[in-house]
Amino acid sequence: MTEVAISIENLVKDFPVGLRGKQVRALDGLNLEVGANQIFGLLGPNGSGKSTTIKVLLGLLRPSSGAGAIFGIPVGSLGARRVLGYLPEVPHFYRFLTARELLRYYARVSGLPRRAREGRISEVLEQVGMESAAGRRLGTYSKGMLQRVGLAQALVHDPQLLVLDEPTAGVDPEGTAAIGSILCDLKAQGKTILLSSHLLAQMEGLCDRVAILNKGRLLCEGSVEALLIEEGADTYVTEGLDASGRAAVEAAIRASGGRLRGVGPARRGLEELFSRAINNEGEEAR
Amino acid sequence: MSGRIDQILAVCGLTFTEAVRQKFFYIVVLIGCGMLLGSGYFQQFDFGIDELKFVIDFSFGTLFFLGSILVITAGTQLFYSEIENRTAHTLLAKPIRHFDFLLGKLCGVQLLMLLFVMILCGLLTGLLYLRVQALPFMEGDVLVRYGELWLYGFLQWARFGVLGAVCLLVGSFARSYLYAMMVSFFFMLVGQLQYIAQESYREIAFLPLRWLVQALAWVFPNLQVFNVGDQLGHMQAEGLPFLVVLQLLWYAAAYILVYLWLAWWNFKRREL
Amino acid sequence: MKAKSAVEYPLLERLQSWAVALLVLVGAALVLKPVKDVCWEAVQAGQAELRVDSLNESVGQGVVLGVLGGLRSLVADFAWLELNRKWEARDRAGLGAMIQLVTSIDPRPEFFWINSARMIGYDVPHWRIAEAGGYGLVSETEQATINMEQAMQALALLDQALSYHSGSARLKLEIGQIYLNRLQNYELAADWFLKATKEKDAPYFAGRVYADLLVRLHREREAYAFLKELYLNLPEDPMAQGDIVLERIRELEERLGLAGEAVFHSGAD
Repeated sequence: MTEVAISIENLVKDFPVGLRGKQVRALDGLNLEVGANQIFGLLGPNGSGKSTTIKVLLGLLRPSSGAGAIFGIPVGSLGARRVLGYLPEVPHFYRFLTARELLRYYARVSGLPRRAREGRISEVLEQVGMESAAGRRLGTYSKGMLQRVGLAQALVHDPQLLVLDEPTAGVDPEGTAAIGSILCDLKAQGKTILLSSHLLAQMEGLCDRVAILNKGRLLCEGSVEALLIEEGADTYVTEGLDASGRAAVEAAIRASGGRLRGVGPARRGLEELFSRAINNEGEEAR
Repeated sequence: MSGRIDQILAVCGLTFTEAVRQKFFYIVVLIGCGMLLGSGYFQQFDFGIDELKFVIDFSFGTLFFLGSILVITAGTQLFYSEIENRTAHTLLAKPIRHFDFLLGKLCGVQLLMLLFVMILCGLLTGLLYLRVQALPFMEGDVLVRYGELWLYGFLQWARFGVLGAVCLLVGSFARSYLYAMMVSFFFMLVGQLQYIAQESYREIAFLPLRWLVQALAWVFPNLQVFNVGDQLGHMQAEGLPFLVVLQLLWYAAAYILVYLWLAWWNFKRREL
Repeated sequence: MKAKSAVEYPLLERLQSWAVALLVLVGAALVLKPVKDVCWEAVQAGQAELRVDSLNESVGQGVVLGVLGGLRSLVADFAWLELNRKWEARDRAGLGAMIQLVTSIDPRPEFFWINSARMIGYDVPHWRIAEAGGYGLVSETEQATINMEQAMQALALLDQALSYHSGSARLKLEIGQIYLNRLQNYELAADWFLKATKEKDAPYFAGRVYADLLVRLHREREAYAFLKELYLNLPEDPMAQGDIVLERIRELEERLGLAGEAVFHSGAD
């Protein structure tokens, strides 16, 4: 049986409005389990409860009822925070520090012993591809670079679980792809990653499992494969067929008892188009 | 334990670095130095040795007044900005205790105030030394007791510690920076003036008002006990018994702990 | 049905927070009361009583707040500068008001009292005479009246100062000087110089001036006895100027016709 990294049971979170106790329910009896060494996507529109779930896991919000645990340790406790790293949606860091100074600060705050500190900082800087800019002040960084440094600070104390709130929000597709690749590497190292996003296409290629939330409730949860595959339906992509060839294929489908639901030109995603264009230009320049 | 100390030192160091990068600190220090240097203006009045008392009064007042403004502004800002900018989210997601975070913040602010006190006391010592050399006085006369200038600075630093802890307490429940600052200033004012209430409540005939006034004395510390400038520094000053100095430090330390604990109690329960 | 916790009632939660805070603060105040009382007593002992009533009359709330809040010396010093501005402008009413203010805010520095008294007793008479047309136009009788009025005001101020500094030789000397220089009342001047000599911080010259005043009052024998006593008690300090005291003693012996065994043997002869 796989180890459980995150378990959430019957989690309810109400936010009071005004002094008389009128409540707005942000999470409504959420149950969720995330296995270790998975990339787990928390999906949902704005206000669906993704960030609230994450804040409860971090101990920044107290549940109104229900409970949560990280590797069996109650959420919010020092032990739970020791095994998790967090990247907020819009990371605000101290602009006057360099990336290396920032990581040194977070390493100290995380209680990393002095002898292990510098080595670990270099390691995570390399991991997120920021070694060359490590001496620059954060105030001069682009959004994508800040996100990578944010990821580095989340990793600096070598946590088992990474909680990333909209890690690619505002980052260009190239940066998004780079973050995706870092996350895959981290998974390969045995880390568990919980990430929330409303950019579904990005999640699709990255996550092992996803959960969809709406209005604080869990709508569905499972592996990406299982959730996206439509049972009893197939997709064919053909090339070089003329009108008679297409008619023959359609007739063959009908003859074998199938139903053709639609025919149209094959499309690639914008993200794929963008990546190809950037890569081609890079190759031409070389 | 050393790990915890390092965590506190890390927060303290960053808070101090952030504080000394702020223009406001330099403005306050410059105003303070300007006022001290400007006290040379008293020479025009040909006060003789009374001029030294004037300069000491003036400098102590400057230290007290500007220091109070600096500690409340910096203390509130350095703590509240962590909440407002959400850097506290990233930080408190790390395995650091809320209390250690607050203690680190307070230590950072206190380090800033120590720098402020040392700059002003250093300048005052230098100014008085130069002035004493220029004044005619009898041999053997001690016109300025330099050690006591620093003792005053140290006692004010202890008082700034109480105010810094108050800023953390207010910041732990405040919903805006402006609110936090205003309440902290109000707190200082009441602490500074509550001795009047303490002394006059017996004369109030209207009972509920009398209880209210009496309650003030129980809720707010008497910050006026640190107003020891008249007893220190110049040749006519009576000095302050060592035991009283120790008790003043104990009074400040105890209130710092109390406010820090209350700040922690509030902050731990605060939803970020 | 599940009972609602305090968390679900924000008002209740806030009340709970306030209650805990109040309890802790009151507890702390109780525990720290003995320490605070000792400190407060020591701090108060070094501070003269503040005349808040007279303050309220002369200045705005902001100044009162500053004074009460611990900026007493600083506010007094600034008021003193303002007082000097009034003095330079020969603004009599303003000067009087500022003297009242400065000494109300901070009655501790003798300097405020002494210099204020000098302004009232020595400078203001000149201003008043100048205002009335100058020394050529104002009769000597009127001048004497003005001098007398101002000297009495200065003495009243110094008398007030003595209620704060009862053992101050400087204040007593100042009173003596006014009797001597402004009122030419040698009897009272001598009394105050004698009072000054009995204080710890009395300057050496006070005794010599007292003896001179006795001579002016034709009380040479008294002056002679006083100077002999003074000489014998002078410390080994060149500033005490024992030789001058001895010179005065010899002058008096000559005046009194003393010779032989009757003269004073100082030990220095």
